[in-house]
Amino acid sequence: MPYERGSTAQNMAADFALLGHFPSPDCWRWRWYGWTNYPAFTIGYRQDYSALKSLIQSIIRSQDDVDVCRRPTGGGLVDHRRDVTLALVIPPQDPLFRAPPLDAYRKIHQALATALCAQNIDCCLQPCAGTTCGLPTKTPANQCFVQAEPGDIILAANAKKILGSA
Amino acid sequence: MKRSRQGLLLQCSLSLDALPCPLDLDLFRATANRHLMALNLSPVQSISASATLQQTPATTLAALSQAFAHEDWILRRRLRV
Repeated sequence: MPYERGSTAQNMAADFALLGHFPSPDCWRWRWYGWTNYPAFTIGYRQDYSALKSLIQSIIRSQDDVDVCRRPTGGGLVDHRRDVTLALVIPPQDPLFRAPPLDAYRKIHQALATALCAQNIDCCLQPCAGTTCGLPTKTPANQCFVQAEPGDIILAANAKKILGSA
Repeated sequence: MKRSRQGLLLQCSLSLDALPCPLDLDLFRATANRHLMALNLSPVQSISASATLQQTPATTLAALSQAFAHEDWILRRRLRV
């Protein structure tokens, strides 16, 4: 699909439209996109921006303006300066819509991991830890990519997280 | 993810800095698209992002962009105290 760029607000609006205003709502749909305003960050739906300001400042090491927008999805702070972003909608008629969330993450991530492996990036999905599979972590990270959650894509060599979803 | 009556939205981020070697992005997206299409049990409509936006009523998209640009959503701030 054509790769497009937009500001954080434009991209989040387009993702929201992809979910709720798509002409064929019974179809899977997805879009790849980038960011026109750098540095660009998105925060999770429930995150407190005032609590994240110093974290963002420490990441960019600058006092310059940043383009920050709240996502319609949850999760942590995401740094979009050097990433590839995908928004995907599973229609309500699909069995995956009613499956446990981890099932959806794992299925989508496995497809993306296969595409990465095709370019010799040796990666796999973060396994669940014992009986905690599917349960929220006790200490969720404010920032994405700090720690891998079950279902995230990690490098096989060192278990470093390379792809996650909210 | 966001679950609503209209579907389940996932927003995914691949960190290029975390990769051990360069990635051909066009090839990655094309390969990923094929694998994602292979997942679908429901009908899939191959549609470009721009076509998506074109088929979405302009007023709706403008209203959504404005909503996301509202103070509660877009937080363009100088980090200097």
